[in-house]
Amino acid sequence: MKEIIMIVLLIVEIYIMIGVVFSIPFHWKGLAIVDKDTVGSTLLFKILITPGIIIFWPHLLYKWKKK
Amino acid sequence: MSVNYSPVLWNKQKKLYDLILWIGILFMAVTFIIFQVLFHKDITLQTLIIRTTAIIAFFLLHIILIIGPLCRIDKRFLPLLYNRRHLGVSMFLVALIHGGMAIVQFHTLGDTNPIASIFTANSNYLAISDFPFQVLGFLALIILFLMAITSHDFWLKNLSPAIWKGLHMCVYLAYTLIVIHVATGALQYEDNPIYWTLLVLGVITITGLHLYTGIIETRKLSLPHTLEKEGYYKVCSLEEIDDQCGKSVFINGENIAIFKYDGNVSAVHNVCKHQMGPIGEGKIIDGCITCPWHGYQYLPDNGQSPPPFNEKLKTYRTSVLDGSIWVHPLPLEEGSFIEPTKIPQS
Repeated sequence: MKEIIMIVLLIVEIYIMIGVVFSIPFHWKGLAIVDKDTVGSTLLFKILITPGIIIFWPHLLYKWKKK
Repeated sequence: MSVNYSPVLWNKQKKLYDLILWIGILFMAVTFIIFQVLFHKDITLQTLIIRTTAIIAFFLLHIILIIGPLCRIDKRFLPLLYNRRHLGVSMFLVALIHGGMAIVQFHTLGDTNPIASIFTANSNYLAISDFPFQVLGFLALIILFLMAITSHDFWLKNLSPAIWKGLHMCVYLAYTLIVIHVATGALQYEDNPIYWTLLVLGVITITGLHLYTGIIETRKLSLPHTLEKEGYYKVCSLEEIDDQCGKSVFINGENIAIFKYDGNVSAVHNVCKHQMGPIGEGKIIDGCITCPWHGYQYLPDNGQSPPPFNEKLKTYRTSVLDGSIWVHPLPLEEGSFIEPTKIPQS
């Protein structure tokens, strides 16, 4: 049981790490491409949506690549 | 409505709402702490915080879940719905303190990863009295976390309304997990029947209100529309709809909102593009159909949000004959203009 939990946690950690790394270029370029209404948005707005970017990075990456 | 995002959408009403909410939270916290200190003189600070935040978060979750059905029963509750998102995020923050403190108190003393410890410290998954209830609370917290981080309109637009709504409907799963978390956790060690009574009353209230409004809605939508002429269906008399108001009907699988305003009748799709609110329960304000949930607006003759917004609804052809409103359930494309039907002056 413990081994399975540790493996699952490792996978989750890797997934989140990828999300953290992804959020940097996404904020830099991808955000404005995926949703043009974000152009000129405040730093606080960007901070607020960052946890979601980290979690939903595959969906956002797909949307970014599609545009 | 989408055009440049603000970090937090605050206006005078929402600020007042949040002020009352946080005064309420503080009041509950102080009251509960006083009672706990009076009746449990040897209680530790950590336990006090865990219990207080648990009670407050669970109570707020009940409020959140009853707002929807209450608004369907009586429109006077709509102001509570207007800012429910802030209520949800506030509830999550309180629940996060509860979860965080519980992990610190019970899962950081050993050499196991604290998150792994939640799942492995107690492996009596088939037991009832010694069930590892913290797992359920943790899973519920994950759901509430996902809801809180996607509470901004940015996510509604970019995840799509259907996915967003699906994710946020998971609140019912979270509620179920929390009820079992409470029943198999803290209440196992409580002798006072008041806690069990409150838990059962809460579940009955939530379930009862949802069932009641569900039955009412189903009855409303399944009203027969027997008269049909050239594809148009008779839905109601003109008097049934107040001026500047709407009515929801369900014809041939189409969910339609019909509005009577300024001597005209128009019909649009009855599902708001924002959070799928019931457009037909809204009103015409400043010449626009206004969703009762969050105030999204659409022009009645073409279903389009007024510039600079770009949401669009499907529109339907209408007719008025012998004092009755008729509607053609075949929708036109989203944003299609349809000349409003003039109500004949008697």
